[in-house]
Amino acid sequence: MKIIVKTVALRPPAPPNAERVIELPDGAMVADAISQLGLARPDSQATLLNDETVPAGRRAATALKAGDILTVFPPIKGG
Amino acid sequence: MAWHEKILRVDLTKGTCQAEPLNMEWAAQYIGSRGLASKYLAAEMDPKADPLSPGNVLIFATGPLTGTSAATGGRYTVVTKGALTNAIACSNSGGYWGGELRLAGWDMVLVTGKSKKPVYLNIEDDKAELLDAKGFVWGQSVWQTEALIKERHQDPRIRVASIGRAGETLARYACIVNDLDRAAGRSGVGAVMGSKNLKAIAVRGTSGVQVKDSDAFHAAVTAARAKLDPSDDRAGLAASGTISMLDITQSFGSLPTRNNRDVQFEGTDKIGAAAMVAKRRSDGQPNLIANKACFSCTIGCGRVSKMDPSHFAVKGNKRYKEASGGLEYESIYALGPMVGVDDIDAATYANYICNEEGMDPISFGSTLAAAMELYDVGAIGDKETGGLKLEFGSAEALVKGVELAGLGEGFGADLGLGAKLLCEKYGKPDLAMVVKGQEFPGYDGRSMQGMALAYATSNRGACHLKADPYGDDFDGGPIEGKAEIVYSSQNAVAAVDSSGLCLFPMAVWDLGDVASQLEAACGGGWTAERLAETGERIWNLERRFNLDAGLSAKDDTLPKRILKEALKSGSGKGKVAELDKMLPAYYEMRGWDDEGVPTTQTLQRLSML
Repeated sequence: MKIIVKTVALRPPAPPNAERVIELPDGAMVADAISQLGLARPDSQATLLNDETVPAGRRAATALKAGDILTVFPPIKGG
Repeated sequence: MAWHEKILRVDLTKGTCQAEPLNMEWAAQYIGSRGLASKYLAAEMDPKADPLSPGNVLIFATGPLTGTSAATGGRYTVVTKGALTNAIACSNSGGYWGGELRLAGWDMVLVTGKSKKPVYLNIEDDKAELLDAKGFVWGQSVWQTEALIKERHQDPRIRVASIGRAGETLARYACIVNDLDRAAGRSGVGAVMGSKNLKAIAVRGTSGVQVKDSDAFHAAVTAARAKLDPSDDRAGLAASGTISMLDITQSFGSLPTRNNRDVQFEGTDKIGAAAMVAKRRSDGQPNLIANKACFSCTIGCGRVSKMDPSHFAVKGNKRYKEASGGLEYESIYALGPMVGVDDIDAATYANYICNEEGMDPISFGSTLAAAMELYDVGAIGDKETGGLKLEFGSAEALVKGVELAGLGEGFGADLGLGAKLLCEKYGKPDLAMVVKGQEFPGYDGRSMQGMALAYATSNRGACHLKADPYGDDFDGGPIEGKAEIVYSSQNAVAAVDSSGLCLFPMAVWDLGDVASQLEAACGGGWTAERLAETGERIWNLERRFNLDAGLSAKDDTLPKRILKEALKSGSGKGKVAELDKMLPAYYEMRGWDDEGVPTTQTLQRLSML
């Protein structure tokens, strides 16, 4: 299946604000998609699946479906 | 030890400047800066005093690590009763002024009374005197004031903290600006300074700060820097400042837009981090030209910008074509999405004017947004605004509005009231996005529930810097866990604020890293646990000041819009702030009764009785 991944405000080498399509096997979980992105610290990123937050502890058990939009961003602090 | 153990007491009514010893028993209990100054404030003034009366006390306080080589050890805090909030104000600033005060041999400047005529305070090492400001810097902007003082005293290394014309005209959210674009920004501390006829404090120091154990201190600072300097968090702040947050809150749906009517803004691509570095069509140059750092800082999150020279706001006005302090997340939120404007140069210009005339850009932008909604619903019209078309999205309204507010002229006098008083004046109090009279920073509490609780319970009114709910909010943490996160982070932040360090290293440091530097500098047995307990003591001290000032549990709330109107988009779609679920748990965790009053048992536990 194909899903859309948006990476937001990530540091290089990850694209800071980018959108791409990735292909995953049926039954793949959010954690599987994140592991494909080549992020330096995949476990420390925050995620939205179709505008719903997916807590870090639930990514391995949250299933994806074709056409989903997964947004990944660093949970930085304000200032 | 790192303290000079010396306060400068300035009695403006008598026109005197005197040195006195720092209360070291209080320093052991409240550290310095925010905490220690709050202790002095509570002891020195009647909390019920009008903030703009001579009875208010204005304190400029450093922490024990200010002026040292600790990374980010350049912070100071202005503590007073806030003109915007009628609550305790603790407004923290960076730049070089705080470090310079320590190099001059002072830990704190405590200002009482009111001068009969406008004055400025000049400090040269241990010599301090009040000098006439009338006919000199009174009536001048922050930028002119700094230049004139350096010229008169023939020393370009003088550091100046001053108010602009917004402070002189008592705009409720006037701030105190040092080093041209660093500010003790929130709660109206500049209006308090203006009410005292105190224009500026100039300081030049040629001594240093002596730490208790220099070898141990060097080792502690080096160890802390070994964590901070190579970190992604530091690199991100140096590269993009805080403005990367705009893309995150936009994606998350927590970006206050058009006075919190919306939480996502269609124009973020034109004003965000990418837009700041994009080359303009007019001159081929980007908005962002450099970053810069404060005293002893290894991060360098400060922005230096240059506007488009062809932009309508600067045409014929050369000084705004020069490099100056650029937009950060909070300023672009307030001068962009909050007022519906997607013009990065108009926002940069408005930010320049806030620096030049001494205004908090968060409160100004949010107040303008409230005025735009008043205009939109017909509560005010061209008659009230003097013909200014206050339409959401109007860059012209932003530019003209900031110019008027900076000088207190025309409708600018109304804008200077702040959102709460402005909306009350025109019969629509619910349109003010404030807590305790202070305007919202750039997060909507309906999609960030921890931030909602942090806003509602902040002792200085709505604030994004007095707690750290970010990670849990962005991770979708449950409502049940918010009270503990806000409680513990409020305590930690209070301790860090009181040390003289910036909050930004806390992205990679923990309280143990702060404690090791503090212990080497001061001794006395500082640990992470003691810092957390001290932070809790400081929080309760501030709370008691507010209760004595007349605030109560009814002030721990949020605007009706945030409590009743469900979000239309983003991760919080369909939600309101669930404050009713979080607040009782928070009071219980704090050891306060149902009315939000610290119990005797809590005060005993914290050695506050």
